[in-house]
Amino acid sequence: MQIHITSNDGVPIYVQIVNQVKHLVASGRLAPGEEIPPIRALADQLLVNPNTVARAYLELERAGVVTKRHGSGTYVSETPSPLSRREKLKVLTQRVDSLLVEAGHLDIDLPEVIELLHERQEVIRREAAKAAGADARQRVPANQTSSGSKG
Amino acid sequence: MRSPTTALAWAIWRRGRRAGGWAIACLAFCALVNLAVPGRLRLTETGQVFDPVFGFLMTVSLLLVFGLFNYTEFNSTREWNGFPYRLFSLPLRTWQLVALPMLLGIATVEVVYVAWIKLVLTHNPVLKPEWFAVLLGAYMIFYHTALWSLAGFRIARIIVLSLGGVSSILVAWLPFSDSQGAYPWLSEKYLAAGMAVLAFISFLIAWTVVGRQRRGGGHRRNWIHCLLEQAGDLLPRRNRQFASPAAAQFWFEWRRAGLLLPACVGFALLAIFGPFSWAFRTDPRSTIDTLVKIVAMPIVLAFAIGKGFIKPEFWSTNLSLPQFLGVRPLSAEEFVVSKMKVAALSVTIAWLLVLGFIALWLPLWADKTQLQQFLREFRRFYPHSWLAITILYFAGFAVITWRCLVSGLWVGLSGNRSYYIASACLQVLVPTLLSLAAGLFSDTIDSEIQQHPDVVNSITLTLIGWLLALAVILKIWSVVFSWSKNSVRRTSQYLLLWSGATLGFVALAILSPPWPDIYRLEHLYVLVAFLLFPFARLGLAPLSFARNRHG
Amino acid sequence: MKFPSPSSAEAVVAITDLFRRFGPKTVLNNVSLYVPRGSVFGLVGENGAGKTTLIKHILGLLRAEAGSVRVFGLDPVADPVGVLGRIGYLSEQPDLPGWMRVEELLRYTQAFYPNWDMAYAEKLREQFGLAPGARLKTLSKGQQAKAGLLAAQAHRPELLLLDEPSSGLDPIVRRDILEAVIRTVSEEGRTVFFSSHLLEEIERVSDYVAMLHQGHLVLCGPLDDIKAQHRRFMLSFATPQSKPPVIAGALSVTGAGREWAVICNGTRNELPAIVTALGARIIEEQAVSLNDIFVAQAGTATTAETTSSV
Repeated sequence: MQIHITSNDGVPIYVQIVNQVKHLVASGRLAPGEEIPPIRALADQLLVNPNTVARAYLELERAGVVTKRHGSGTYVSETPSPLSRREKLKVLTQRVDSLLVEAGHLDIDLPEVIELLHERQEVIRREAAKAAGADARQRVPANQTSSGSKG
Repeated sequence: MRSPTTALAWAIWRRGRRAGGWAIACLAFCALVNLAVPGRLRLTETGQVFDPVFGFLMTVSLLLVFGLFNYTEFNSTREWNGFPYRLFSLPLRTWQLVALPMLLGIATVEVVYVAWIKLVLTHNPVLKPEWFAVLLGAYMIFYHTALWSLAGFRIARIIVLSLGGVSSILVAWLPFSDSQGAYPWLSEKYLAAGMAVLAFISFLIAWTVVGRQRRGGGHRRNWIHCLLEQAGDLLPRRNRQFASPAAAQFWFEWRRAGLLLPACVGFALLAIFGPFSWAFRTDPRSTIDTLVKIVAMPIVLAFAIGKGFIKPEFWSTNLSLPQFLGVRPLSAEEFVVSKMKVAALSVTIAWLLVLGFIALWLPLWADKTQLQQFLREFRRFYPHSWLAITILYFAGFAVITWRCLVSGLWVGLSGNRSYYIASACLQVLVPTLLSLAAGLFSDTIDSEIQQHPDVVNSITLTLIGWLLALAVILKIWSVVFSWSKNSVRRTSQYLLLWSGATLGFVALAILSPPWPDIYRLEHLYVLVAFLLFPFARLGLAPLSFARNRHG
Repeated sequence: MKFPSPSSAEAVVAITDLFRRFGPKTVLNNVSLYVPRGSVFGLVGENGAGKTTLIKHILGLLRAEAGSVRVFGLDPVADPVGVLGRIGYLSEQPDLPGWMRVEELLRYTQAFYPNWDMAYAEKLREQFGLAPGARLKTLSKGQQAKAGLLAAQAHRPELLLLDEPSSGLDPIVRRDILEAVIRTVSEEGRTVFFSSHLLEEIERVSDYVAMLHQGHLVLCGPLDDIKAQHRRFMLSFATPQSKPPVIAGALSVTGAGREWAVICNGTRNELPAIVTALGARIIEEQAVSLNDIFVAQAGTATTAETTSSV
């Protein structure tokens, strides 16, 4: 699990860990059910206080992103819990606030912002479809070869 | 600061203004005394004493001037004490850097010398004053050269400087030795010229050495040290664990300074007493003479080495406890005990060397006629106990050597520089002053003794007796006062040691009072025996160590 | 600003009203702090603020002139053996004897601490790359620091005391030191107390932070709370200001013209009213890094002193 900590902009370290883990889960680099490193190992890797890592994990657990199984470590949760949806909306609200403030500074009014949102959503959807298609084409030849070798 | 000369002169004066102050104080004091005492009085017998006093103080002030020009600085990265490293970056040529302190030194010492001659030694003028002036200048140059070239070799430098000091006396005496004029080259003109040439050569050596140091070479990492360290690497190294913290601290102190006294004693025996005893082996008088000197040598050496031994760290001039030792979880008492144990082992080895040398020398190549005569007389007076007395005497000398090594332990460990210097000065000055006083009042004392022998004897002896008794009581009182914080185990061990040693001394006092014992001085000797073995040290030293450690 | 301190019962180091003066200069002025067991306590301050003096008091190398110092409940001056046997200390300046070899240093130090773990010491020695037969004076500064760290850690002390451990060292050695700190506190019940002016290190590993400025303790408390309380506000004024606006409760005000940045400590509720009264509005609110908190607090304390002396 690759996490990068900076201490320049004043954001608390545990918040940085939480945000980055959430990002990793959202982008799919951490699959559901995958184990994340124990607290001590991550603390050694990042050179931060184990208490900070513990606090981050606690936050993640409360947000429902990870689940802790007694004795066998911490794993990315399989299904999103209802509480986590509230957390997700809270994160999104913060980002929306900064977006709106920034737009106000740049003198761009709300209808333009909404139009921009629709545009960007379209672009991302197209890119995701293209990537999925490329994936599917890659997987098919593998299946064919394996069935060929069996037969 | 208008010029480099004034800047350097100012820097030297600021660093050594205390030494300079004392030198000027000596000079001023003697000048005042010289002015105050009228010329008539100087010519009487009592007045004769002024000359040795003046001479002594003049030597002291000249030594202080030399100390003032100890123009070195400690360079911790290279662990040497040589030419001030930071001056190398000044925009001056090397010969200027070298010549300026030398010239300043020569100027100062000549000024002081002339002041002494003109102000103080007016009644008994010095013979051949110019010879001494040249000698002082030349030796100032030699001194600087030795200081700078041997920067990395601390021990060798001390030895060379001491030998240089001794040789200066011999050289100074040279022109006076030839009274018949048999050797024309021994006159002071030729000698002065020779000295000047040697001084110039020495300046050239200093210039080369400092130049090399300036260009980055010539520090400790040279072949002698590499060789020594490789030899040290070959020696078997300890790989067992230490049994206890006290054992580890003992090892630490031993590694720092334990072998120094045995090494010095061994060196003295091999390099001085061996050849001398061989050279004079046919002279019967020299045997007893040399024997006395051999026995006295460890004590004198221990006295000198002890001044360093009592410091927390032997090889540094800093009296405060190094942080590395202050953080060890070891009680103050154990630190002191480890130092005392290392001193004891040191003294044992040194005395074993001495005894070994005597055991080899006496049978093999000494002339024993006078010695055997003395031994016969000795056995006649003490028919039953002569062996015991001899053994006790040697043991007593060893104990006194040990005492010299650890004397002033509580002063050295206290970390207070003024106490340390004051104690060292007192230990040197008090005997000197006493002997001076004895010399000063010898006439009056002699006349008094001749007129009223019994009264004087009884008064003085009673006085001495009471003083000694008071000293013993003070000693025991200070022990009781200072041993409150010590552990029971160490207290009982030391008490046993003290009782054993004091018993030995008392036995010595009883068995062998020097004869003839007209005045029944036995009780005085017993009292002295009680004072010999250090008692309160075990309590006082940890207290002052604790004060040093805890700021 | 002080936060509720742990009770002395669970404090490994309890310093109460410590006062220390060297000649005319007061180095520590009524300093009180408590180091909880099992935490990492960071002490920050500029050079000459009194950090090393405080650490020397903890070690018993200085006697408390006024106030009290208790380590593990004991007085380090009265009972040096009991206290020092449970402390591992790495000092700022190299104080290891140059004539010793690495193995001799380890064997010598081992004799004083019953908890010494020789296998662990060997492992660390290999990890740090220290040859056993090398004399300490031939080692570089970083290697000497590692040797000192090795000697301080190998007996798994209850309290690891580091006095500006990273000063003048390269990033690799600094990393080793941070690893040592984290490893220590990961094991149950062991505490770390270290002073530094590398604030990013303090920020990464500390649970509690205290800040000394000219002998006074200006901040003391959990790091997260301190960082949560300090906020930076970006203000925009209607008219350009020629000199820094005076805002009550602000630690530092920087900027020029119409835009100003104000760092506040816990006064965020009152700030909007004050700011509006001055004719400005709050554009943005940011978190502040420890570095900026330190600079702001130090600047404020100096100004406060000069105004009080006037």
